[in-house]
Amino acid sequence: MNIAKAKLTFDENVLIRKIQNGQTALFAELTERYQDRLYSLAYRFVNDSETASELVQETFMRALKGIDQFHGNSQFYTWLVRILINCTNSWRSREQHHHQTIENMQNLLLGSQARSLMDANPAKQAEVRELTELLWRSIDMLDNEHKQILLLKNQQNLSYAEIAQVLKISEGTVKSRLFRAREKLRELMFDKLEENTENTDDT
Amino acid sequence: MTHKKDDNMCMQWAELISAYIDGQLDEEQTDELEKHLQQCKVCKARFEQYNRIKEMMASDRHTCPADIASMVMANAERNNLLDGLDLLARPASPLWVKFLKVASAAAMIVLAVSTIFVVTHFTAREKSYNVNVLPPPPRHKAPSILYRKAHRNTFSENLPQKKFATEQPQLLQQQSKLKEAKKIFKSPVAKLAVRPTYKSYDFTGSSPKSLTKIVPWKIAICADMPVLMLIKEQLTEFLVSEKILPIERLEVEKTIRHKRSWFYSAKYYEISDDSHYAEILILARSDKVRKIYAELLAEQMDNAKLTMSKPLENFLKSKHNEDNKILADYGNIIDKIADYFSLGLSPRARVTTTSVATSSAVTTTQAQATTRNTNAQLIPILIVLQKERHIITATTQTTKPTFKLLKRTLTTTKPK
Repeated sequence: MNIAKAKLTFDENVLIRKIQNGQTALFAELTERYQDRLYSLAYRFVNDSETASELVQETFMRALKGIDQFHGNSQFYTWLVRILINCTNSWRSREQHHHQTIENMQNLLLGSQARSLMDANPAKQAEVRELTELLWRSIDMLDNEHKQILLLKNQQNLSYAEIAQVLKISEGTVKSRLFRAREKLRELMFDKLEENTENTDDT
Repeated sequence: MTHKKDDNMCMQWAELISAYIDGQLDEEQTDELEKHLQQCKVCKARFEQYNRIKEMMASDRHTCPADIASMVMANAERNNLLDGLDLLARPASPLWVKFLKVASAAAMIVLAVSTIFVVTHFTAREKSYNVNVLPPPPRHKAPSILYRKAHRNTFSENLPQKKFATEQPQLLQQQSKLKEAKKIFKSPVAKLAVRPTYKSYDFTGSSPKSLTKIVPWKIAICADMPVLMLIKEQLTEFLVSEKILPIERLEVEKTIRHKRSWFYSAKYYEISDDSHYAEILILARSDKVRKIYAELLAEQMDNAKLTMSKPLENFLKSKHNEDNKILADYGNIIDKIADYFSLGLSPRARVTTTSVATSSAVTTTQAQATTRNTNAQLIPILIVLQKERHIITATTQTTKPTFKLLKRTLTTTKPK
């Protein structure tokens, strides 16, 4: 396992050095290596496959453009994630103007939908039985900050140190923020679920 | 309700649980927490819930629906080509080598061909570049044809290499540069010992008379931009080759200046003497590209009429008496080009175009679509002509299937 990992990073470093030395075409390999993983993250950031694709594309373009600024102080992927977050932030500020209200309404709607589905109707409840659906709906209701860190840890499986690097916060902050995010998400998800099942049991 | 109370009491443990799940606790803390988890149902539940969330999120995998790699690379390619535009603007010589490198690497095209291509004066209205310019052919309405006429002897004779070299001594001077340039193209140097031979050739499509002697050949094609566009658009199909031969020599014959504004610049590369490869880079303004066809069609009809070479004219007249229009048709020029291409060779050549925002090798229709969708962008179009070296026997060359094929293409794709 370790050997395989070591080999991978070695290859990657060599690859990056070659790209930095002008063999730009090799960048396609890096792109292929990471695009799905990065896309998974981007998709959860923006909840839209088209936008996510664009963001991933933009991320790689920026990465290629600034490949000389990558000195290997961090993992290449971590670097990509940092760029993706920047891209997403600027996309969001671009879009916010137009979509803020819509988004909020959607969130409200989703929230109330989930609630109504959970609360009242046992028949509909079956539809949301899929815990994962509830999970992602709940995640969408979190603050961006919490959503971000949960994705980085749970979905992307980055280490605390890497998350600290990506988000430019201390590891202590990573720890406490992650906890708060988890607790909030748990409350949103399971408490509601439990209460609901209790209620339905009563009736 | 009691449930809620316990919840709050156990909050002190909650943060530890979170860290525990990520393996962030030291041994002591771990022992302590594990002990507590066995006793406390609430904390146990929270631990399981955290864990469940983590597992579910970890299994969240998506496949990127877009082909990011090729989009990113196409974008990089485009930027590189645009950078190359700056290089074009400077006359200093080694730069063109760099530029060529950029263009070729970006295009990622494997090559091998033959053709000598001379494209006559291109100028950009807004801006013009003058790079590596050899003495241009006489500037006339259709210098391409005139130039070719001027060199007709070269074709109808044994195509003596020396004679050509004395006519254009600059070619020789450039040879050291060419050696450099040759390295850029990774294709192996041609290993074929046998070259096609042309005892004589006129432009009527008749067969070469003798094929006994091996003679290095040189072809000059004079064409202007519209012709190139049409090559791209219309000759692609029948020029596609399956076999690719390596490059033997690469040479920059000419940089084209043209008065038409839609081309900021065009650069032409050719391989001379034993050449099997030609590459043309066009940087075209997308909003103008679409106008090309109509305008050029009108222009070229006249030119074609005026300057068509006698042999070709005769040939066309003899075969197309019923349709005089064809003489004025723009297609004639294409035919001539096709003639050149198939000069004693099989018409197996390859035209590759690259264009912005599509992958490195795109079909012409894709290129067109790109053109349509972008506004006033510079579109680099790289046309690579590759020709297979081919030994012709008198029997295979007696008919020219390319002509018929071309005519058909023309009638179906003729611009309005």
